[in-house]
Amino acid sequence: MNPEFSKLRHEQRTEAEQSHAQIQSQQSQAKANEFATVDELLRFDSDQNPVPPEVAERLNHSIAAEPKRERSWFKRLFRS
Amino acid sequence: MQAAVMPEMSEQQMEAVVKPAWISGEFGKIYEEHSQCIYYLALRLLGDPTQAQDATHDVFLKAFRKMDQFRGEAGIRTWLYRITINHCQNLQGSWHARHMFSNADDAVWETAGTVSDDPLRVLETKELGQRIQQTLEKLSEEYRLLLLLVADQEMSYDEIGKLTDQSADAVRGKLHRARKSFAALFRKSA
Repeated sequence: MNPEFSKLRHEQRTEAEQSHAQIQSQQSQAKANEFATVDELLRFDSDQNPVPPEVAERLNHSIAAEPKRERSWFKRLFRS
Repeated sequence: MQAAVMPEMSEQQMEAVVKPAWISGEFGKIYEEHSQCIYYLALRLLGDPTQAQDATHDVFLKAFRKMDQFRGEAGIRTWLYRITINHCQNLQGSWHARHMFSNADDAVWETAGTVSDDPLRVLETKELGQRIQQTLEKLSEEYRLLLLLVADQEMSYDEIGKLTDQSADAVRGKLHRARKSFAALFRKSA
């Protein structure tokens, strides 16, 4: 293949890739989230912040370390 | 060498290994159903994800310990919210946090000229959390709390009123002003 032709094609491809990336960036910027109300905005924010699973793991250890509760004399008597 | 023979486990036993007992029990259901709203409230009241994680853990541990004291007069979510609010206020250690009455927030939108009812636009979701946090921090504790509670669709004005020691009508009026203040400050922060 002619090296000049190959270089030209490479430059064209690079330019095309760059402009494609620019358009994508513009599109993502233009794609704004709209919230009609403050409540809606806060609900969206809540969805974006799920509880980290570490909390359940820590709670698991803490609950396991809790002393077993003694049943009341009433419950023990009637085995309810 | 003889290989150790693992006794076969039933599906139920396997699940018990993966999931601790409390998760599959009654308290686990409570955690699964309410932990998200508790975490979010703690996150936005404290403004720090690590502190919010600690608070969520502590709130549910307190709830676990006091489960037999829960009388069911209010819903379980309201009860958990009450523990969370007290816990966060204790962490912040502010007297004002417990006496949260302010009209200063109203000045924001009352002096802002025309208050737009346009939708709130957000371009970058990544920075949304920061903007929301900064906006909430500019409001009084009371307005912030009311906005966060009403964002939970399961909470009625009446329940919010009980939680914040005021009537449902007072909640409605304050929420109207709180939303306006928030919207004005949020737009300014863009």
